Amino acid sequence: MSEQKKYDVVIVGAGITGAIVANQLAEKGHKVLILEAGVKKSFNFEDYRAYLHHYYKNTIKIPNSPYPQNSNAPQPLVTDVEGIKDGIQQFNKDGYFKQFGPAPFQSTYTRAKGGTTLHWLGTCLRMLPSDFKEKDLYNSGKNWPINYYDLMPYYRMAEQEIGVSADVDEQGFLGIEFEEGYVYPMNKIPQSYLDKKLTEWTDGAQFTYENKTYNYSVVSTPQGRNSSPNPNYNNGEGYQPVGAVGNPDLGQRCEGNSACVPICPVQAKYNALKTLKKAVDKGVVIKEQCVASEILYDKKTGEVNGVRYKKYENFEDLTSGKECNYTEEVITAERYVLAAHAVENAKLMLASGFQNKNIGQNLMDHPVLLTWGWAKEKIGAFRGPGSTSGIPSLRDGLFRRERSAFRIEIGNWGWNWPTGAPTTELQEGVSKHLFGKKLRKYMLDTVQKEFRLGFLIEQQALANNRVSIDNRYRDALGNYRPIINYNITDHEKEGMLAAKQFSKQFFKTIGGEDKTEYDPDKGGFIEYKGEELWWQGAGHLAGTHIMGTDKSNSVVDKYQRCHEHKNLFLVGCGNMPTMGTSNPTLTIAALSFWAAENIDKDLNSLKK
Amino acid sequence: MKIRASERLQIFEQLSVVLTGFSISEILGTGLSKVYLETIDNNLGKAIPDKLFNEFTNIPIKNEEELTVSESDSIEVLVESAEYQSIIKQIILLWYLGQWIGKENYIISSQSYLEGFVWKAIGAHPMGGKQPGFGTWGFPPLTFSQ
Repeated sequence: MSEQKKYDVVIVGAGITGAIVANQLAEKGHKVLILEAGVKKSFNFEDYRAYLHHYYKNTIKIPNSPYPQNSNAPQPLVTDVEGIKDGIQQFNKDGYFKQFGPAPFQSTYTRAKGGTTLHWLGTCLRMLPSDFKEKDLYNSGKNWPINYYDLMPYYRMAEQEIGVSADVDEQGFLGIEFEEGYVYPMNKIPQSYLDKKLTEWTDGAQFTYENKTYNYSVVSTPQGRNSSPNPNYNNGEGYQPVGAVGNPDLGQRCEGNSACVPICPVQAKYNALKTLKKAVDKGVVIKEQCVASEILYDKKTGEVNGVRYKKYENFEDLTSGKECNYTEEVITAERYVLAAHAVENAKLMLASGFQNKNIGQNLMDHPVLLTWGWAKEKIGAFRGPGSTSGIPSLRDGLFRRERSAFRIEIGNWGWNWPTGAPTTELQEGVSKHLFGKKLRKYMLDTVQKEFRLGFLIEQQALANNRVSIDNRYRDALGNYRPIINYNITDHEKEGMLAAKQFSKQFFKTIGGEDKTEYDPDKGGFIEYKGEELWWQGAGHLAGTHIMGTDKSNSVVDKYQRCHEHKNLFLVGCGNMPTMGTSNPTLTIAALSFWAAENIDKDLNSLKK
Repeated sequence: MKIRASERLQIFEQLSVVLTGFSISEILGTGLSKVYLETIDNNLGKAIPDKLFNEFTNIPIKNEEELTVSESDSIEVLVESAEYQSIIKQIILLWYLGQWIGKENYIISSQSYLEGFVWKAIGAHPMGGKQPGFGTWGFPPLTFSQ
């Protein structure tokens, strides 16, 4: 049977996880094909520049604004979450997700070659060792079937592939360990002037909450963006930064374009096109405009024997309502990998009639509580990467028995995220009849002092937070639209409460002015124990096919292989049983290296 | 007084200096004044702009330097008059955001986004363009003598 198959492995999805698995398996000599749902794009830099111009000209500069909507492979938009009317959260009925609430699911992803790394921020924090055994330590959340030390070598591979900039001696907090002598590929990205001032203003101060004290230490964040290479990397071999795909002299260093989300103009920030290009150079085939619609499998053995997909030629705007022409084909291989993203993976398995009850459940995100205010002097907002530092001290502690941990991200782009600055200030100024020099002064005085904090609240995996499908909700190609049921619990709200208290105290400590003011009509607003809270999505969609010990508690085993379909592997955030408080891309990249190793072993045993 | 077509663009540019607080060289440096005047004409017709330009030319202005340093009382009156509030707001937003905000709402071009004065006004650079260079975000913010 293997003689007839043209490919050893078929991968669904050309994002970071699919790209890593493809590149690793091609390296080992396996024949790999990737199906990509997004619109065909070459590796020429001009194709990427087209995204940039789309961003410039888009009046609404949201994370997906550079990446056109495509009726054949629609993507969710943050603007699909509308306001709260008479106490009920409203949603755009034409949006890609069909949301049933009660809370809004506010995160999105990108369905294009390169995936959501096209618009990610680039944060590359490792998870804490405690995040892998939360059930054991805190009787809260779940345990992973692997631990931090199992993942350490793969974290290293991921940091090399992405090209992470950080100083290792700053990163060993809260139990994070590194192999002796390890250094990151590149030196840390310079911290912003804001970071430096906050470090100065919080020096020696402490935050007390629930009778515990925490320090305010502002720590540089590891980032997947090019900095100066560390000559000591890899036992003194050094590291060569990877520039833009199709224009490699560009993007050798971060140039401070201040647009990491939604698009780095020079690709100094890693995106999966870089890994995909390497994979293609090794012989990997990417079939574009091919939307997987069904996994075919033997109902008795569970063995997967093909992926059905719909290939389209033209695409229309999502809202056109026009029917699209497509042809259906089936592709076969020895091993299959779903790397289409947490929501799409779950949807595809449900559409194929998979029986494991955990599929689609445990949907998680980092609800991000936002607070904002003025520093006591001008710090020069809107300069540099979106965030260059954070405050990690509340990421772990015994409090996790009772409430969520959180990571604090310091935002360099003023109030851009929470209020739409600087456009909002401009409109305020103009409506006050300010013009000329007075308007300029008003803008400078208000905006230059701005900064915001984002509290990434750890969310627990719960069965009722889920992705499902229903015959009534389909897209232009007849594929299912994901149905989302989502809520946040008191565990998370208690975490938000702690975050809010931290923020209030923080602004006092630094002598700044807390200007946080929530609009009760905006999606994500809640009142809890008399405190007003407002959160947004982090884009960290996870948990829809978690890993665990058997099919009763999970979809994949520790090898990232489906319990019930031995030749099918899943990769991506869907495999994560806990979120921890780190942005998940680095961790899923590490897990993809681990998965690729397991698939390679598996294929070799077949070939013997 | 009928404004001659050849003078119209120049008057618009001078008015723009007064309204935006940016110098004539910064206005000209964008290369966008002609496109912006066309945008205004296309959206509002020529009658309202011409009336505004006429009143503006009646305000005595000695030299370019004065345009950038002071707003005389007559200018304040013009800006605050109910008749011109809408067009003046639109001219300012056009220069600051590169965007027409009216019945239709659109960014004129990639160039207009990148040349938006809002970024200069806040001491930054347009998000996604005119990058200041590696590590510059770690330096103290520039102070402007305006």
